[in-house]
Amino acid sequence: MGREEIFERLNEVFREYFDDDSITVTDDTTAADIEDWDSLEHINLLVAIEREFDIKFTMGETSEMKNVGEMVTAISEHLK
Amino acid sequence: MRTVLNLLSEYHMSLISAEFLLFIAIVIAIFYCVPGKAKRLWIGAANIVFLYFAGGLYGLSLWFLGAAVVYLGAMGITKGRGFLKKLCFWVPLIINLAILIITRYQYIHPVRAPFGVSFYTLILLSYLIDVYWGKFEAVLNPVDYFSYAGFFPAMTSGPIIRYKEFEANFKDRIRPDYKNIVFGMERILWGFFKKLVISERFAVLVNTVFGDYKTYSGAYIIFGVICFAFQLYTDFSGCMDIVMGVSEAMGMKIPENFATPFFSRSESELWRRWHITLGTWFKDYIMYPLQKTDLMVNFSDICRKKFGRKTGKKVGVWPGLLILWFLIGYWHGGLLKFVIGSGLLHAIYMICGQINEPWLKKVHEKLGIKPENGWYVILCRVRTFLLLCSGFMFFRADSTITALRMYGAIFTGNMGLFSAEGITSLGLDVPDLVVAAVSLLILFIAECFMQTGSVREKLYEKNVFVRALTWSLLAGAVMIFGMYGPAFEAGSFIYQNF
Amino acid sequence: MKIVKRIIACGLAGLMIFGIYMVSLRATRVEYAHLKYEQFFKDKTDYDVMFFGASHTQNGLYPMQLWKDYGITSYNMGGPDSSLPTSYYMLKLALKYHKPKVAVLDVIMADKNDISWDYSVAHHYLDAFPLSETKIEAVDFLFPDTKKKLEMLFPYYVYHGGWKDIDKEAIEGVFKENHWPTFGAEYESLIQTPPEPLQFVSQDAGYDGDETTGHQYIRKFVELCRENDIEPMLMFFPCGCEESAQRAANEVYRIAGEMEIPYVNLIYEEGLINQTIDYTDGGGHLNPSGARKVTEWMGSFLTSNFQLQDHRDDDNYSELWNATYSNYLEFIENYLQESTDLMTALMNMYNDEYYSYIEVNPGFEADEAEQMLIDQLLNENLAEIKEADTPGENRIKIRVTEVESGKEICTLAF
Repeated sequence: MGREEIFERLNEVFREYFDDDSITVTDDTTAADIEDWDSLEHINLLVAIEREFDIKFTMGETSEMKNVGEMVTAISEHLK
Repeated sequence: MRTVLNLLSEYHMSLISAEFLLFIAIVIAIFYCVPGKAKRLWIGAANIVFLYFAGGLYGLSLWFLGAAVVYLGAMGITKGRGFLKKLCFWVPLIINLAILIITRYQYIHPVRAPFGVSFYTLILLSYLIDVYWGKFEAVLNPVDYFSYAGFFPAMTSGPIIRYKEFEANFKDRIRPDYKNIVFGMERILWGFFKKLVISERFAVLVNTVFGDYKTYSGAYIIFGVICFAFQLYTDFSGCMDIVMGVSEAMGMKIPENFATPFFSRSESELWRRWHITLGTWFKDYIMYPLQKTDLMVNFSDICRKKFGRKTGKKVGVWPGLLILWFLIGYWHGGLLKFVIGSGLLHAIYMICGQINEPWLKKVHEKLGIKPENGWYVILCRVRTFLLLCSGFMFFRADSTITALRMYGAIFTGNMGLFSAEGITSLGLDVPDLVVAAVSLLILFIAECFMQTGSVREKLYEKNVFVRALTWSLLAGAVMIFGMYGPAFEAGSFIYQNF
Repeated sequence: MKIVKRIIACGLAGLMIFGIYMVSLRATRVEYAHLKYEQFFKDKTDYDVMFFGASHTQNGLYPMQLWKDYGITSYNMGGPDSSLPTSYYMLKLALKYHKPKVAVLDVIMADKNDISWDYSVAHHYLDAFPLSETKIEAVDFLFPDTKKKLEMLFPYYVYHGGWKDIDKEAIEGVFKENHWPTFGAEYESLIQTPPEPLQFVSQDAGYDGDETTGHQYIRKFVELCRENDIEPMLMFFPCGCEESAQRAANEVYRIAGEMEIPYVNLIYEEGLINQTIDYTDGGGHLNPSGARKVTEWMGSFLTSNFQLQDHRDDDNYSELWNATYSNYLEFIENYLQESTDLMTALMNMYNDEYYSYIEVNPGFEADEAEQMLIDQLLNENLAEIKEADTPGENRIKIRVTEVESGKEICTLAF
């Protein structure tokens, strides 16, 4: 799966999870950019992403991913 | 010479002492003299010397035991797999937690806690867990490891440094830099100011009220708790300033532990500004793993089904939040009062905050209150401060029961505080009260400036006279008004006993 | 350019901080030691004699009188609460700055075994001495508590806390200087008769051959003198102290005999002092009347038993000492003028610089002490007395004049 496609699906997850259709994520999007994305929600969001792509992030990745771009990279690694 | 050494050995090294200043002067001076590779070796040596003088042979040995098993365990994790890998993780983990719990929380034997155990245990465990999670490979070079594992500035009261953060300092060659050294010294001086001039003074007031709340009931109690907030803040963050200053003077960056916390507008913001590294440690190593467990994930799903997506998301987090804060409170001292005052109480506040958010938002919209309104911001800050203080009542009181009794005693209506005799009956006379108030005001003004950027940077831009004058006045204030010396007992940092 | 700016900033800060330190130190510190030892540190010449001991020494020997009458230069190193170990260390410290020909030690507190020194009193000595290895050694030995050691070595540690007490006077004191022209002595202008006659043990009542820590340090004092080519001498002031202290002092006869050094216990010097009128406190410390007598005795003893020169014609000494002596006369004149009662006045008048004209009211009756004081003045031709023609409001009027010039110093009436 290419980065483009991952981005598209990821965007859907974000929109659904935060119940906000105006969200468009880019490589540089971080938690600071989305109002409800805080440390309490972080794991739930990741779980939602894991379910969407049928992957499991490692604990190491969980706090390492600083922005959406890194998330996409991690996702594509898991999909290989 | 012998006499000098004699004097040294009798001393318990405390951060707020002339001996420590001498120690860091020597350490920093030589740090810049040794070549690049040897710098970490020198730090390692300084760590051992510091731990010896601070914690005695006992403290040094227990630290070494904890650090060594983690060092070896991490290597086993990186090199091994399967069962061995798990063993190399769990054994060092259990050993360190055992040392922490047994010595610090005093359940099994009244064994003395090794110096800094509450902090260095978290530092060591962060390393162990990071290696286990594959964030990086175990560090083979013992100098690299031990210079981190016992980094002396962090041994007294933190901050809880991650290995990667520490290692990043050595990516490039560290050169003596005037700005680093000056900024570092400014910060150390500021820390001394906060501790000796402010914290120690407020301590007198606090000790009087908490020492006899039946006499000092009513308004005194509220005053006492608020003063304690100032005492604890200046004590702990003053210690941090000294520690950060020392590191900075060596060209090293370590994470901040405080970011003007009393300017927080909400409980959640507060914990991103108060004892920051403790929060991030518990978030990364307790909260995330907890939330990722199947149990929690399933519970979250159930909540979403039951309460709808929006509410369900929030509710689903609550058990995790409560467990998390229970543990944070427990870390502070293993006693119920800490579990409540530094733990569960704040979880409850945050939960209430989440529950109230939707309808409060509607109220604000109706009344036309915008979150950026000046007075609204002030209101939020005051409210957050008072919530923090409500937890401090438990933190500072002798026990949970005493704290509850003290809460009750507020309602006796004792207004003695507002009389001249009253305010001067707390152990500080008028000159000291004035100094306490003025120095607190100076702190407040400085922190207002910090909201818009680094004060030291701004100072750096000014001319030589202004800079020299600022340094001199600050140093003079510490020299003259500092509560050190035989007349006062400039006690150890509150968090040093952790 | 940047470097210059940086150096200036640091240098300026250093200066300002040092300035703040000096001003705050001067404004808060106890001046006693600095006054007492001011001349000691200023003087580059050596002293013939140095006196060591406790407050009895400090009150009982006047270097300025020794200078005037014998041309001996001396310094009074005695001070409150000084135990024998302390005196030993005071000698050790003093030797870094001045080496006397003779060192005289008062063996008071010879009955004590403990070493520790009251630290608040210790400041009255040690603050004046700069930090040195000897000072560190002395402090380490004399103070068991680590914090006290630091306090003694770095007095600012203690004094800064007194910032609250800084007032106009203290600030003025920073820039103005006070002087004690006494070469260490303390002129205690008080007089008190003992309520009962003082009891003394017999001269051969000793300590049964036992030696205390005090005795140990007497020996060490003597040895230290010998190591430095100083002639030691031991003495004991006439004072009504406890029996054990007197016995311990008498034990020193044996020690002095063994070590072959002179020792005089002035309790047994018949007729030297007059109990009724020579004490400030009824039996302990000598007042100016008693001190004058003991100083005179000491001057005579020193010149007879040691090779000391009369420096009164020696330009190396006479300039400084004569100048200080004039200041000294002014200094003690103040006490005379401020005498609050007759006995104090009569005591202060007992000085061969003064000649006094005493006029008493008809029917004047002096009590025992007053009569003794008047008699000693008359006997030594320091005063004349007559009855007033007509009764006045005062019992007695005194006109004090300077012997040399005849100039009037003051008139007192009681």
